Amino acid sequence: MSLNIVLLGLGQVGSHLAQVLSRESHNIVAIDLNPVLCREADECLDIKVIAGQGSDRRVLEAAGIEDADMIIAVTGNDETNVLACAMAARYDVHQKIARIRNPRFFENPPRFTLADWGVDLAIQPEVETAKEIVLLIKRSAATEVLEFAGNRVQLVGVRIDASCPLLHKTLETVSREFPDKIFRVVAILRGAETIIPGGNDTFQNRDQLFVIASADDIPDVIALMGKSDEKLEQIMILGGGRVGRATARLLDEEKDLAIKLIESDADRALKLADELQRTLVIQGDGRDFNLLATEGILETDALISATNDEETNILTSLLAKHLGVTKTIALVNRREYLPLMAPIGVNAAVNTNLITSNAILRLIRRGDVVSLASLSGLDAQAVEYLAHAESRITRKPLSKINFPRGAILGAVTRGDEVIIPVGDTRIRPEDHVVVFSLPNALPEVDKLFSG
Amino acid sequence: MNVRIVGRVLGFLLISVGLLMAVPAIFAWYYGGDDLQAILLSAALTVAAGGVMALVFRPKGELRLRDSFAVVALGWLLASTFGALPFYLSGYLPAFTDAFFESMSGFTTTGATVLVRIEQLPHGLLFWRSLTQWLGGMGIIILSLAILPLVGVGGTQLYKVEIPGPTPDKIAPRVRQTAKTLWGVYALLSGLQALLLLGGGLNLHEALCQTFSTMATGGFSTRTDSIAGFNSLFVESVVVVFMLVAGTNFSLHYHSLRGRVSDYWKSEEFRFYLGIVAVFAALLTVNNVLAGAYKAGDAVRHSVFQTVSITTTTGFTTADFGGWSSSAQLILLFLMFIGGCAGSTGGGIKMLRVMIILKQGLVELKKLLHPRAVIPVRIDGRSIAPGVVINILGFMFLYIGLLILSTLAMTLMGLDLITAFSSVAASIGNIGPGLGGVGPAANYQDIPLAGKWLLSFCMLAGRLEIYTVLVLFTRDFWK
Repeated sequence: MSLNIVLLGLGQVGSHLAQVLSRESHNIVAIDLNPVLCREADECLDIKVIAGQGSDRRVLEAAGIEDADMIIAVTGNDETNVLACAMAARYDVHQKIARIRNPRFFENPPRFTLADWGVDLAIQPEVETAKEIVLLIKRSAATEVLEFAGNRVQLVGVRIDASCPLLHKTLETVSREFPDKIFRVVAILRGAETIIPGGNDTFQNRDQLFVIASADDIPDVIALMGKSDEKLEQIMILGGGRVGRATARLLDEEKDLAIKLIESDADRALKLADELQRTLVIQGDGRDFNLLATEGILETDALISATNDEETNILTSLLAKHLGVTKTIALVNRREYLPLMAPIGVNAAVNTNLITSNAILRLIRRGDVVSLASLSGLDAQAVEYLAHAESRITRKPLSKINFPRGAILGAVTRGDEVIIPVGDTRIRPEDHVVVFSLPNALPEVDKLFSG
Repeated sequence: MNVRIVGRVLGFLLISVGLLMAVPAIFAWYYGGDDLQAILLSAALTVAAGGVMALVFRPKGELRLRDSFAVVALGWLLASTFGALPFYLSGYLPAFTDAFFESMSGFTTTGATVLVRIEQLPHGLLFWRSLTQWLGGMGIIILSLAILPLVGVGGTQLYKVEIPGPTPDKIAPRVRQTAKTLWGVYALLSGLQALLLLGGGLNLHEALCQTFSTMATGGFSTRTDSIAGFNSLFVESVVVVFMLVAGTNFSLHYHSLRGRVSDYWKSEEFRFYLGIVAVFAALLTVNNVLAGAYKAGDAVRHSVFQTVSITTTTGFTTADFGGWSSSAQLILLFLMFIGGCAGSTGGGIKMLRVMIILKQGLVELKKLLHPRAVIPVRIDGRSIAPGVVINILGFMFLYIGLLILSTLAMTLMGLDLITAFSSVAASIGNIGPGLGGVGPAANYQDIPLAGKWLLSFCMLAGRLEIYTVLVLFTRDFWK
């Protein structure tokens, strides 16, 4: 089923959404003020592009708002996004999604809600990013954490090294050694290559493994890889921008953490210090090594580099790693850099644009899809499907089903139970199934779950 | 300075002081005292003087910030001067210096007296003495704002100048309404205390006089022995509770009367205030028991009363703490500096200021380890603007500077160090009794003439929180 989508804004988030959605055969008309971005999008993507102001009635009508099923407003301006949704509501557009950055829009108790203005779903990119950072802090051995099936299932990335007991063994051997299946390796990132592994693939030093398991079993799985979740207590955040601030606000609530936030702008530092009750706000340049040393970078367990300059974030993460910081998390918004992060030693990279577009894609791939996520550095997606009685996949046990190459079944959630499926497992209606798939295999997987 | 408008406002102020001065005449008449004539004459003179000023000065233009300082400082000075007339004209305080000292001590809610035998004073004058305290407690300018239609006068500035606390809190959008509300709460609480004291066996005159002095944290009693003169645990308990009430920020009382009783406990300053009182009362009790001065029961009774009285800067006494151990006296001297809560009728440096400076000190310690850290000082979870901290530091410096210079002057007049220092501390802090020669068992009669004028100045400076008075002595002000 293809939707008519009006997309406002062709920045990082907008262009990624346009790319993913057009590939899935939706009809997209994109609007952006910047003619350069418009031309680039027009040349690279199979979409229609209009240069103009997104909250202008004539521009919206030219984009076919009257027949649109959905509007996605992801311009850099909150008010434009809200106004466009409010206008779209008058054209009876079914689904209206807006990116909103200003946290004041969400403050309680709400005298008015965003729905009053026609916004069905508001995405807060920085808060979503901050949530992911907090997950990564808690799951310190992981390079990537994604949650599915109401947080019961987690997909984690783990980078293995020489201490890993599974090294050089094939997946088949490993599954024979551990007969009570508690996890599934769904992907291996080796260099820049993404492998959807079969039984004959082996684990190599410096591989990044992507593993799906029940959230309760994740610590055991991580231990199996020769790693453990260390409790990270001394946390340093560089940059009090939107992401740094949102992260500090979330971590500020955790009583057992000692948090330092370094912000270079004096006025902003003052504002942050006022807002954060427990976090120690330091005014200074995060690149100043003396400052980092004074503030105890050597004793720091985790460094979150969230300045507005991603090169700075990457380099300070590397420096921190070099100085013995257990976990480094860098905010990297340029997608081209993401595959580099693991090989050069940055523990985890978060990408606000990817997180935002994931949140939006999750809504668009409706029907059988419950949840969907792209992983940074991987050209693959994790999709949570809801199986129903007509789904083809429920008709036979898995071994009898012709599952597409490039896709792999991760975990099945049945009620409160999490099952790692094997050949004789049979998917039942109402099961939540997490599938990990390369983009080209996804349409076939879709078919298995549809009627 | 806009002389016309300042003169006009001061005229109105004098008229209201004069009218209120006639109230004690009722008691003078009832008790048949020989002070009736003097009181009525003083009231008439005050109203006349005010009337002349109000007629002569035709207001033009607006009251500006600069004029507000003049109105407030001169207003208090004029009120105290005319307020001295009943004492002076009746012949009970034949030296004008003494009459002025007593009047200033009343209006500033200090409670220091030059009277050797208070019972000698007739009922009308005793009532006027306590009434000056009650008027000065919530502020005479604010009273004028509440009751007088001061046409064309920017009340907000006057309000802020008379209640200059570190974080002024306007409880209503209009200053006239704020003034009325504050006086309303004040009057309500005073009525309650008066009823309780009546129930405790005091007659109306004595009940009202003690109430006025308590709610204003003044300290003038109708007995030479102060509250000890009533020899009643019930009266003492009522007075202790209402001293604590008077030493609390009145906007908290206002909010609790509106149903937000939990505001008391939410206020960090209020918790700090109770904490200070509890800790020091306990310290004094232990001290007095160890020194063998009292049995345990009496030690608690007297220690709690004196702690509350000095902390709230009231200055009532139930015991001669001049005879307590040196360490006990030092504790009381220390409490003289802290004073009541901001926005209360108490004097001193104020709990809020002490808290903020204390917290700033802790912040500085933390900054030694984290030189670039940005650490705000928080009160009730909200951070205090850095300018406020600096303002308070300036206030503290001027407070201590004035204290030391005045003490120096007093010692030059031949007073011993303890008497000189404690008399100045008790005057700036608006407490009343000091230590040594001005202790609870003594009075300010023997202070030299110049010393009485200096202490009167200290009382005014303390009541108007230093800046308002000292700004009149800057060259910029008169430009």
